[in-house]
Amino acid sequence: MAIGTIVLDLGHPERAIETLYRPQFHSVMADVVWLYTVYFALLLVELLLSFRLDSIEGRLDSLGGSPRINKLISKLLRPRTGSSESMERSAKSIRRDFLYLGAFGLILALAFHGGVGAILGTVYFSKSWWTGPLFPIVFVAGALFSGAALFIAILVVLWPRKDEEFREMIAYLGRIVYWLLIGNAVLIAVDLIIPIWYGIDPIGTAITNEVLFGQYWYVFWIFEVLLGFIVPGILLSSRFRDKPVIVGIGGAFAGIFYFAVRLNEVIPALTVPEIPGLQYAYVDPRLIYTYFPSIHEWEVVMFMVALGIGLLYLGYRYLPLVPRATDLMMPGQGRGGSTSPISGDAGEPKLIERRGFLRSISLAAAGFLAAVSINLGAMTRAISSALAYSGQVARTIIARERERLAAVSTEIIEVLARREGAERPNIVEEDKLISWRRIN
Amino acid sequence: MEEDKLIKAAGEGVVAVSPLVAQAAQVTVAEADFGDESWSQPYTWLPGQPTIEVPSGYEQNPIYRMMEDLKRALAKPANQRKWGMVIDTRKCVGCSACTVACKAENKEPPGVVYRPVVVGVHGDYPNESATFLPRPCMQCDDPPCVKVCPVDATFKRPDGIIAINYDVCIGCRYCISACPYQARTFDWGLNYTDGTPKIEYYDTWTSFEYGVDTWDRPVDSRKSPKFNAHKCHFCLHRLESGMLPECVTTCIGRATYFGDLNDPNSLVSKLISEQGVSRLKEELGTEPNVYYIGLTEPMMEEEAPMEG
Repeated sequence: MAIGTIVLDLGHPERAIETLYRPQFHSVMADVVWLYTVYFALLLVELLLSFRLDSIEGRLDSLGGSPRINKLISKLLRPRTGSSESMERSAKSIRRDFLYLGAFGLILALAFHGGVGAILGTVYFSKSWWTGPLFPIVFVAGALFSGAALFIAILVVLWPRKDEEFREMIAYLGRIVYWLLIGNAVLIAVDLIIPIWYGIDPIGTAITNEVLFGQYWYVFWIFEVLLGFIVPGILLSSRFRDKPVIVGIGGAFAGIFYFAVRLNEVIPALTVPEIPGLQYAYVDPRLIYTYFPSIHEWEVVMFMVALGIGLLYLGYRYLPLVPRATDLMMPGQGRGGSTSPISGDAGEPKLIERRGFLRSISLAAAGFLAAVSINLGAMTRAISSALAYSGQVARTIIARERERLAAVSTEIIEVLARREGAERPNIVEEDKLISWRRIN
Repeated sequence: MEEDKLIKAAGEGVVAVSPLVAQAAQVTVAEADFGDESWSQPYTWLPGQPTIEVPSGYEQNPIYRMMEDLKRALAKPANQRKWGMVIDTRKCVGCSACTVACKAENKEPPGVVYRPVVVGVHGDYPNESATFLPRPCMQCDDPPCVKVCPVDATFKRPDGIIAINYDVCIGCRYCISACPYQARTFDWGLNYTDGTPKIEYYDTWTSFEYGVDTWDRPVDSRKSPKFNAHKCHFCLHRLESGMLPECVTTCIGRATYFGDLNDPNSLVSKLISEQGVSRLKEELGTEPNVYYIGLTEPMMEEEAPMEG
């Protein structure tokens, strides 16, 4: 999703591929593109390997997904010759591969998250707000924190069995995210305080003032501090750790409102001109030094979020990815789950309902966001053209009505004129009357 | 094609997979240029080198002198000349004629400016003074903008000018963030007559930047140079045709000088050696090739000087 928004933000998105076939590795941006590409390739390999492992161990059908696709996967990926021994061997080797790929993936993930920070950090000489060497660390820490927080939220919603094991897992993850939150808060505080400690860096001081008490103060105090740190800090604290739902909500808060942290790390640097007075030297709406995302930018983000949710849902629905509670399946039904309640103990229908609920919610959200994002622009255009068109129609109708009224009034005048012996002809209609008289 | 050479010759050299290789390749190109006679030839698709007779007694007139300097520099291979600018801020009256001329010469669309004049107001009333700081691209010897380009679309030519290959630029705007002088702006594909009943012809005019006549701006098209980074290039297309940069010829106070820094007899070299010159943000080590006489750097706390 993030990559998609970046590509759409390019001036020439069709040339994004140039970063792959004519890269300049001096540029951290090119490095990050390459790291991401390798990482995605690695994820794809891991996914295929996991499908292969699942098909070897006969687990595919318990993982949901469309039966047809599952059959295709096992046909394509399952080893052909299959004595149980060789199967076991290949399963074992796949597990070992996972270990290596995972380690490599971890390195890649650290590299590209740090790299994203380095994209900004390496130009700190022109934007001192992007605090150079600290930035890659801040970005890795932030990625760990926000990623883990969102992961908890997703687990709480998607995990099929809400048993003791699940509680323990969520509590454990909650503890990790809690400490990551504290670590991040310290990093951000350091990032804010150190550059302005003596108050002699005019640009740093100006930007800090702007962030804390400027026009968009609420992004820092409400979104970042309150909703991004204090609220999840309380919800993830040891007090609520045995309640997975609360931990999940805390994770969702921390994950979602982390955007405010990134916003305050990136945008303010661009609000101060590098040569004081440059903002008045040449004034243009496109060269202003304040930033607020435009409607179009919100649309693009919403579209990408919708696309992401849609893809997630498609994966969940058609690919064997998430373990399902197989005993709750309707016999003969597809693996996507059925929303109709079936008999069982008290917990089961609830789970199924929840799954149905999740499906409907994700579909609705995706549909809504897609519709809104695609249509917001189209809607405004449609409304404006509808207004223009209706204006035209109205004008035509009015013109026609006016003509009709004129005809009617002429007729009335004529009748009156005839009745009164043409004593008081209407001045306007005089000519017509005269001609009418001539005819008659 | 000869026209494409301006952009390509230096650009192709830097297409390489590692910085080291890139550096080596660049050197190779520079060496190849050395033997390439055509590098010193003017590009003929523009009106061509003007033949202006210097009236007697006007030999030391700065404009004529700079034109002579230019002629001398153009006779050398490209990699032996190094274009540079000297701006005498004591003579600048802040008329912004250079800004306007530059906008017209390079057909800069809305949001794009190559050479704004920064007005600085120092002191408090009544002890106030104003300074004017024209800010073209510094054409740094160690340019941060070139290093950050992910696709090598911007590069330093052998003659010192930082150019952009509009046909490659992906429009990521990283270079705009990296430039400590904010000398780069972005073409958002806008027209001056947007929102009016008709997009006027001057919005679609072809820009002659980089000596190529392909930069037209059709309406409803995303074709380059739209959605690319733009920057001052010392009017490269004029230089190669034997003309001084537009900002130099339009300066009413004769505050801007231009010439070959490698030529000890050029006017700019003389000014640099004889006057006390300084460069903007020298501490960053970007080694700018624009020198200022009487530079007063604007300060942070300045308020809007031209408001009201």
